[in-house]
Amino acid sequence: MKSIIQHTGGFSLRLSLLFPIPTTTAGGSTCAAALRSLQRAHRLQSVGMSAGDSEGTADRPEEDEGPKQVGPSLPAVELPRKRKGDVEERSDAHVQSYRQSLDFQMEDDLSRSEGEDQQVKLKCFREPHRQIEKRRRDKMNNLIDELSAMIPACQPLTRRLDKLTVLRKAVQHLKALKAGPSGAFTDTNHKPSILPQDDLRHLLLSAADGFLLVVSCDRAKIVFLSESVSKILNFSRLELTGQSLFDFIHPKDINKVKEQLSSSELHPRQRLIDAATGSQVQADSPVRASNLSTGARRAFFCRMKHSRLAGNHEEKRPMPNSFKKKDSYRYCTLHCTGYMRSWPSSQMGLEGEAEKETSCLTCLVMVCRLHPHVSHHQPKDITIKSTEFVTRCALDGKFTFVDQQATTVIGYLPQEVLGTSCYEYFHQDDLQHLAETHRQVLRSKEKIETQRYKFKTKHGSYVSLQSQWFSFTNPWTKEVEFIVSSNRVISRGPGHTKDEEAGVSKALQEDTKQIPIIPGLSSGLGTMIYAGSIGTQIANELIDSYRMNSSPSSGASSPFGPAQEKGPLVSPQTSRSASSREDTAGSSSQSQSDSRTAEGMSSATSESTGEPSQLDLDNMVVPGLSSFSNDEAAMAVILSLLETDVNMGQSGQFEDLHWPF
Amino acid sequence: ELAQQLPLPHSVSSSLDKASIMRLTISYLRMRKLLTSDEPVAEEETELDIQLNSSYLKALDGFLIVLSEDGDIIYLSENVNKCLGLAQFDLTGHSVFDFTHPCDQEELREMLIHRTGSKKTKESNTERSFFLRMKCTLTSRGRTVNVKSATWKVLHCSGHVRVYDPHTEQTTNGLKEPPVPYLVLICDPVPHPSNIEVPLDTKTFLSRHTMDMKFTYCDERITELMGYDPEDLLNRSVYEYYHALDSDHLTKTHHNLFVKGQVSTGQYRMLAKRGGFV
Repeated sequence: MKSIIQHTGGFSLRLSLLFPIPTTTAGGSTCAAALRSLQRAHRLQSVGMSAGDSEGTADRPEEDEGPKQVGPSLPAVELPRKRKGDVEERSDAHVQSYRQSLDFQMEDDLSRSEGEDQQVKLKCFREPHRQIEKRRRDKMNNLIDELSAMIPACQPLTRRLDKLTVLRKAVQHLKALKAGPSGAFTDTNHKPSILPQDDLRHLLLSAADGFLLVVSCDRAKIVFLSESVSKILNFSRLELTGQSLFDFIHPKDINKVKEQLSSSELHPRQRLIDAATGSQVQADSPVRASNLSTGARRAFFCRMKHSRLAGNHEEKRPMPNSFKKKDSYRYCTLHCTGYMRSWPSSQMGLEGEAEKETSCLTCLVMVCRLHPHVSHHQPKDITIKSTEFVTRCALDGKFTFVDQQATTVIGYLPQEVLGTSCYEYFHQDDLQHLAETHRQVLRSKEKIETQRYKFKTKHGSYVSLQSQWFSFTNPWTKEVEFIVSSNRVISRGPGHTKDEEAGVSKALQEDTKQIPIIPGLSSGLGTMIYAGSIGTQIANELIDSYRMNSSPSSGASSPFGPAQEKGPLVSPQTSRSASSREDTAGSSSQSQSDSRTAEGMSSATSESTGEPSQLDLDNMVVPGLSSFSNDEAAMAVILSLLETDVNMGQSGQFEDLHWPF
Repeated sequence: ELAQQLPLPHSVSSSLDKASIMRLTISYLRMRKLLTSDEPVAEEETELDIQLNSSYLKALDGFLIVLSEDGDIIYLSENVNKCLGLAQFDLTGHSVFDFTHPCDQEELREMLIHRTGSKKTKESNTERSFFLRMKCTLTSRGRTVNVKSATWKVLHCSGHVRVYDPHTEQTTNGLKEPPVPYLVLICDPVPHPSNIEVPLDTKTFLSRHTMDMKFTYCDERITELMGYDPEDLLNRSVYEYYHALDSDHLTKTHHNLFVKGQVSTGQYRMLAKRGGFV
């Protein structure tokens, strides 16, 4: 290589020696012409050394000084030549010598002088060309840098290697690669492509999960499959080879595939599309012959079986499929493209084809890829949220607002549940936990997530929910106004129905007998813990704590006091008046009714907003009740049921009045 | 000399200019790097395997392209000239943005980004599927014209983003290189209805629409496939027949059609005459 460089270097020495004379005298034009002819001559000589020249010039860009000056001298020469590869010519002219040689320096000076002379003449050309030159040099620099980054040999050296070394190392590296494990280079039969063939296969696999399939056209026998099929269809290659393709294709696609494999004789109506009008044209027989000929292309979609292996990793990828469960198989959609090819059967080594003595076997060679885009796997874009609904309830757990979506979950219409305590719907087992959470949420400002619990639906079954509760505090009064709950369905368990139904009835009837132990709530003898009371008791605790903190200044803040004096005799009216925060009239009756309903609720829909008035009512009722015996408690229940049915306000209190006998 | 080292046919390598040689060398080395990083599958290659290796490319309708993160074409398979008329070696090493429609470049850039998901979240979707317009120098008669007068051809590109993770390789200084993502794509041309080389099968029907997707013509094959008579459908918008969940995808595809000129949808459901979806 060195010799080549020097040779060209020597030549350009000659070149430059010629120049100094003309430049000083004549204009640039003559100089340019001289240059041009010289170049041509040189070019003819150095055709065989093109590689060398490119090497030589490669290190030229390093000197920005020299070429900059030389550059301008060249543009005039460049213009007439527009051939591809004129870079080489440029390089010829450029190449002065090896950087290390002294000649170079001389060259520089000489060329600089000529450059300067030329400058005047070629001013109009120079600017863009200088920039072009610079850009080219920069590009070369970049390329050299990249190349050095690629070559492992160059990396450890910290100082910047000169271009020639980089190139030399690159050559060595490539040579090493050639000799190395790839081995595909040894196959000189094929036209060497920039990548060995088996790498292509790997690439294909990484681009799209695909495999190669060769199917014989007459019997649809699978002649060959690439290894990658095991990844995609989960069948091993051996299993499938030799089988009939139709065994693995979805039954409805069999016809389609048959068509594709066969010649057009089976389908005399060959449909072609007339390019001009875009409509169909019935073609005649002349087209027939071409169908089976080698090179005829096919492209179609089909569904192929794939089996699920235990612990298969493919499933985590969103399988772009249209699943069709059939005989416990699943199908995936493949996009198959391919062409026809015929082989002399001797090469194929066919077995079992004894009867076929034909010399040529036509096959369809296809690449089958998993269909790249199927709208089905978009569901993650259409975020199907699991059913969620929001409810709002008062401090004591009575629903004050229920989302419409709740109906789909719990079966009740919003109006049916409003005013009832949520505890009535909670499954018995969950009561403890939920009461605890209730207590917690009243005291903290954060969202609290409950565990899964069961919520009784209208039909008697239970649905598993998980909720997030948080309490909303009125910023001015600093008291908790209501609790917001966003509930999420965890799973619908129709399987639970039976147990739950039994459980439901139990809950209803045995509520009086089985008193779930809820810590913190008064559960002494005779206390009737029924659903509504849990909530109210918890709420009351909170209210108590408020009372403790705030001074019992006004009657408004402590209706509890006067109410208690009256005992359980509380007319809603008095409580209402006592409370400064009035609620709507209709709500009072509701608040009284801690009605537990197994089916159908009253249609009272007035919203109550968790006013302490209601609470106090309950509070009043409950302590009163709790002092009663069970019988009387039962009567209270019945009464409250009646109340809700009648939806009264005044009469309710009237009946209450009769209580304390 | 470097050109000689490149595994190219001699005719090509001798006519390359300096910059191209550099380009190709770099691309080649990059490719080798990327490929060696994949798990070396120790398969015994049968005779047939080797023979058929060459048919992969032929069997594909389109070509294969490997892009680096900044859009440099690291590798391009040969059949690009069948598809686009451009030569493999002209393009390799250049930035793909030189050859794609300016309006699509933004989209392409997005596709190249590889967001590595954290361990907790499920791994990021590496699939890519989109439409791209690239310069095409093939005329309808199959002749190639100059790049400057190239028309745009719509390609459906689908593939994956793979990451080359040099954990196994350590450079001699012991520095670990950061993982390099690259995009491997197969680009298929979208068949133009007026130029179908492949015979249509019985499960395919043709229909024509106005710009807002109202049927103006429909193949009679639709009758056996879906139960409609072509006359039933005339002047009805095809959106009436799409399944609701697919409408998102199809609307996007419709948009794409206006932007790019050609488009192919994915699988979608269409209402059949007697109920149910096809």
